[in-house]
Amino acid sequence: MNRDPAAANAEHEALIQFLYLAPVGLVQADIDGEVVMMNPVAAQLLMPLSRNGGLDNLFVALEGVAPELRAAAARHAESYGKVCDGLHLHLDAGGGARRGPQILSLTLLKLDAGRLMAVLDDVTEQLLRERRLRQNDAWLNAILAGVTDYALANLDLQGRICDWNQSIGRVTGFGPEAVGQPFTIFYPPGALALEYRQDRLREADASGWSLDEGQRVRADGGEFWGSTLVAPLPDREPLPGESGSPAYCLILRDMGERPGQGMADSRQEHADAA
Amino acid sequence: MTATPLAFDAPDLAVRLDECTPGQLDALSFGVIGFGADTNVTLYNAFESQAAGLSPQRVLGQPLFTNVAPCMNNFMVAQRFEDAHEENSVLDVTIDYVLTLRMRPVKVALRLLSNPGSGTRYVLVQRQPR
Repeated sequence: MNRDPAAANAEHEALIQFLYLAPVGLVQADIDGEVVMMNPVAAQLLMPLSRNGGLDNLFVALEGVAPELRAAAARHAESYGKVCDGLHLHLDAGGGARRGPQILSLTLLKLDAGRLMAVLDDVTEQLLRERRLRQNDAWLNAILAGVTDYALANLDLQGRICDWNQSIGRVTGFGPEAVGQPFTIFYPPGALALEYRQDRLREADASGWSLDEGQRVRADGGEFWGSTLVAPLPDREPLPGESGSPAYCLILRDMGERPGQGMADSRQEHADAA
Repeated sequence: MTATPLAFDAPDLAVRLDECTPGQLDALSFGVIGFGADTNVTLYNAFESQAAGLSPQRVLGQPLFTNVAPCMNNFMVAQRFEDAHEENSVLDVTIDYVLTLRMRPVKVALRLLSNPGSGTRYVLVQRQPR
């Protein structure tokens, strides 16, 4: 602790500013919810909820969105612990709050028999992102379950199949044993140059995608005419402790019978000749 | 400038504050925060500095609604200034609010002032008796 009064004042002011700037709402209240301290973001988030224009009591301020909070805090028998953790408070979107938060996250901590601490955060954007992600997942699952002529697979950085889904089974007949195998298992044995797999991946890296058409083979040895699209995925650096994570997506289309001569492009000829 | 100090509820206050010297602003018995169109603080008088516990050098030049008074960054305060700017209209409204001066919730009256023709907008802060 610095004993120089000027330095101590500067330290105190820096601490005050730290709390002013903290990007989450912090509130300390007594066990009945009477507010003892709060930082500005807490006031920013709570003032639009206040029905009496004040913020003297946390439970009163939150009554409209979390009426059960006071009882939950009273029920919490232990002297220390979380009364609620990341509780989502859905705000009334009406009124003038068209650009304000819609959903707050509230964590209420009992510090001891007489004190509570609350952490408030605006999680509107985060929840919207999570919802979009779940919707995209549902779309993808519907596609994987529903498409009949396409197999969709994730490939790792070496072009090995990362995971199995129904579309791979339907189009190629391969089961989960395909995981870990290179995507060239869908090509007739001996038809490819050694570098083919790496060439497709490098081309996808360089131009955003790599497409070729040619003879493909099913697990039972039956052949079909297909097109193979390989495209790189974003964010493909593996996280610490992770290996074999998706680096490319592969779309294999079953085109049925081999088309007449002259239909195929130069890439297909290259694939055939290789 | 008259000898009588300006009152919190005086009419045409924005225009009269524009004419005040820093010394005159510091003599007022309510808080004065002046800021520009970019929301960066340009005026921070002694009353407000003392109440908030922040010296002017920590505040001047900082964006008001994110770095100085985040508690006002909602539709009740910040958005009123944005709306007045978009509509090119005069803003002069007084609201009851709670500020967290030195982390204590304090009931205040805020007067929000903005004139389309003026470069400086004002948030005035007057403490209310509890």
